[in-house]
Amino acid sequence: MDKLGSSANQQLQLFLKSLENKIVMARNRDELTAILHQIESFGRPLKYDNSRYWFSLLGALLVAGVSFFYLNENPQTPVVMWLLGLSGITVLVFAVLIFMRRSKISSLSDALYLRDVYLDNNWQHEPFHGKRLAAQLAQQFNEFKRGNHLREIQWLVKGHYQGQEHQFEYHAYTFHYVDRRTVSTTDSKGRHRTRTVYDHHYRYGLYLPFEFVSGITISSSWFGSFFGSTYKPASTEFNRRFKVNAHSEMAAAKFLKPAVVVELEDLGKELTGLNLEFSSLGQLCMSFTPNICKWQRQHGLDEPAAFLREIKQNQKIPLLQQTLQRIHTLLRHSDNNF
Amino acid sequence: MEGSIVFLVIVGIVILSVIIIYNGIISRANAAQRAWANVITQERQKNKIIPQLQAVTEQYQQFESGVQEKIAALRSALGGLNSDKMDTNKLAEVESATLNLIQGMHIAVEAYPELKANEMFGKLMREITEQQENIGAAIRIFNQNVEAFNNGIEVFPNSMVNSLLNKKVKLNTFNDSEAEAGFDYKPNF
Repeated sequence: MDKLGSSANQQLQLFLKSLENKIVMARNRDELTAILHQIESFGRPLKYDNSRYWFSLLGALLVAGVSFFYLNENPQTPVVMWLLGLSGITVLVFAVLIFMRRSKISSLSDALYLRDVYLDNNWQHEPFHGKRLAAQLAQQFNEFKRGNHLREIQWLVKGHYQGQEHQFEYHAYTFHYVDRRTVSTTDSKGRHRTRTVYDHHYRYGLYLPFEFVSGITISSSWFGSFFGSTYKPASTEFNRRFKVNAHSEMAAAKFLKPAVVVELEDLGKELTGLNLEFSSLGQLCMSFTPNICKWQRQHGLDEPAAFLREIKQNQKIPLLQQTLQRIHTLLRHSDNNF
Repeated sequence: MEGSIVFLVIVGIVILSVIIIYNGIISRANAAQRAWANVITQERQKNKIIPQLQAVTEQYQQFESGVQEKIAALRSALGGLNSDKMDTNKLAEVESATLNLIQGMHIAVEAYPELKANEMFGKLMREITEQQENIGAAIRIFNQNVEAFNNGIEVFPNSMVNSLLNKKVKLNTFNDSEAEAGFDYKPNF
């Protein structure tokens, strides 16, 4: 039984190793499907047989327990002290081994699921340096001038959206910024103390080329709306929600057609803290508070059938797709049909 | 002394509230008026594409005769719109004429497959669709502003200020009577 278990574990270990390499290399849907077929044909749940580890751990625990009670009665027994120490270490080693095996399966499940999410959403990894990229983006967009201590892009993907009339490349990001402030307190004895507090904030967004509009900021907060003239479209609902600043009032009036205004009203209801910045270089940065690129794995490789069913479903992120569709509508109403 | 200060403060708060409510009603009325003007502006955008539409239709004799009448009807309905007078019936006439024209164009596309391939025709169809979306959106904005205005004169104490000072009457929202005819349900307000 033990030998069988051991060889099954070795077989699983080799299989997981090959799987790991293939997941990293998978570049398209076909390659991912081949991996899924391989998992299906493995024939049993991808789960280590940890019974030997558990027996060893429990045995060591028993020895540790007995040694502990013995030492309580006879404190000056060096051999038993050594025994307690060794059995304690043994318990720890086997606990770590079991944990590592479990997390290995879990991290492989994560990697496979992530690959699937990337493929379903047409995403590509893009190498970047967090602080440098934030500084570059701050040259175009006020959004990235938040935070007086730290500004960095923490996560970035490049995606492609294919609409009926327009297609575009976009970047989705997570922006992390830190505000540093000093807080003064006085204790009961009247002594003053100051300490530095770091407030961590996260904002999410998309940036993409938007050649039809430039030099306009539409913001739901005071942030980023310091330039040019202000403009108010006819909608009281829109004006309650957003503030518009533009280099030219005419450009804002041309862009904010009624269909665009109601689209932004709806977008503002879906995404709190929404800001849109159309830079003078023809780029749009749409930033907001909720993370729209969130995904949650339900199953793992230890229950392959359910996991494969989950993976085979389309993992397109609904709120992201909805937002991209709304950007497409903005493009459609900003271009010239003739 | 204290009593008179309290009295004066209360009178001051009442006067300030009346001024705020009065100005609020005025600004909401103006917002509704502006939204209405916006609807008319969007409707009149159709005038821009009529000459191009006529130029395309000239190439297709049969198509032209059917659609020309609808273009003329739309033109005449557009002429009846007034940005200063909120006449939702006239707006309904324009919308109905537009619908007839779009239907006529769709029928023509079926009769003339080559029309579908005509680049200018495709652009015109796209433009008309976008114009209709903008008109729909402008009407939604108008109705939102009308709702805000009506709320602003009907809720208490605004209703009191309005009946004494502003004397504004409730505005009608725009209803698409043709779309409404498709429902059995009629709201009882």
